[in-house]
Amino acid sequence: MSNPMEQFEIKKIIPIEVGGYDIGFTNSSLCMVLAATLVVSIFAFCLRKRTLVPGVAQNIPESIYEFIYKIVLDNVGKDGLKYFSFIFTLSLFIASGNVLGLFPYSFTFTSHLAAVGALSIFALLFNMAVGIKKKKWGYLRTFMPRGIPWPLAPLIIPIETISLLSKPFSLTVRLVANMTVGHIMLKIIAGFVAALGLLGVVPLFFDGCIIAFELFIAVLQAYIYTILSCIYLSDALHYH
Amino acid sequence: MKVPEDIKALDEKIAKAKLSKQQQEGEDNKHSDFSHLATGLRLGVELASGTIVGAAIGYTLDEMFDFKYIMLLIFTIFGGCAGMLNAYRYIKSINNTEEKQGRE
Repeated sequence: MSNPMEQFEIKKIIPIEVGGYDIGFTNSSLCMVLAATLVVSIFAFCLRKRTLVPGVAQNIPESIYEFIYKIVLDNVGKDGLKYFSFIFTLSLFIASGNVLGLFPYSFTFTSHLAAVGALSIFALLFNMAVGIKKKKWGYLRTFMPRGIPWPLAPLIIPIETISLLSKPFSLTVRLVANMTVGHIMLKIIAGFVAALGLLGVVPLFFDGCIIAFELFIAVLQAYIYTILSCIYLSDALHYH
Repeated sequence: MKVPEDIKALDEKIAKAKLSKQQQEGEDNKHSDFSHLATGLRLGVELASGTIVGAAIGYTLDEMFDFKYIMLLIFTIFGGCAGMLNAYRYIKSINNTEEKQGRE
């Protein structure tokens, strides 16, 4: 049985080095480009004939759009709609990355802490920028909520800071753990198919079921990521 | 009094619709079991991530200023507190939404 962790190995396709930093184009980067291209081309293809009464093809992007629009409206409110395009892009990128990873010979870039972590940190910085733009100096109240006596500041400020910084971490860990565990499970069970010979039909059947379940998890995790980013954005806009 | 046929048919239709609604509600309850599991899992991640981020900050401060693991100790405790705070806020937000739904 081959190593189930092998599928997460990053392989360089085009080695590039700038000023001692390795910025090579890897299989992970290729999958990110593929995921982005896939979403854009599906949307462009489905929306090529735009009519007032949508046809079957036009209905797909429109229902996705409305679904995420409703999430933003419910969780952030009307003033959050300004940032809808950011949330929309983020969730589609993650969803397509998750689903793309399920295809044989592809690579799940959402199973890497570095990739998802960078996205989450970017989302956190974006939320902070939005909060600072809206509340100016008042944003500092996030670290020292109203109604707390000043002598408690040395305790509350570090706790609130860690609480803010742990949000992208928990967001990342949840997605990465789900993706990694699913793919490892698939690979281990697939290993039994070859090892058991004729009886391998049983693990093959299980693998089929798990693939369907993983597809569900891939979309669900993207949905959870979207909802949580919306909640964090709402915190930055409205909290305190 | 004799009940007309079409009214009888309507009665049957209503009874059927009621039954399917009850079944639907039963399925919704099953969904809520899953959402309890999701709540529990999220709370666990929330608690752990606070502690880990706190410990990481403490370790970095130790490395930068050579505090001999004092910062690691202090910030791990702060991190645990932050994790609990996040978990508490999450539970509070769930309660608020449930209350809102109850009122509606």
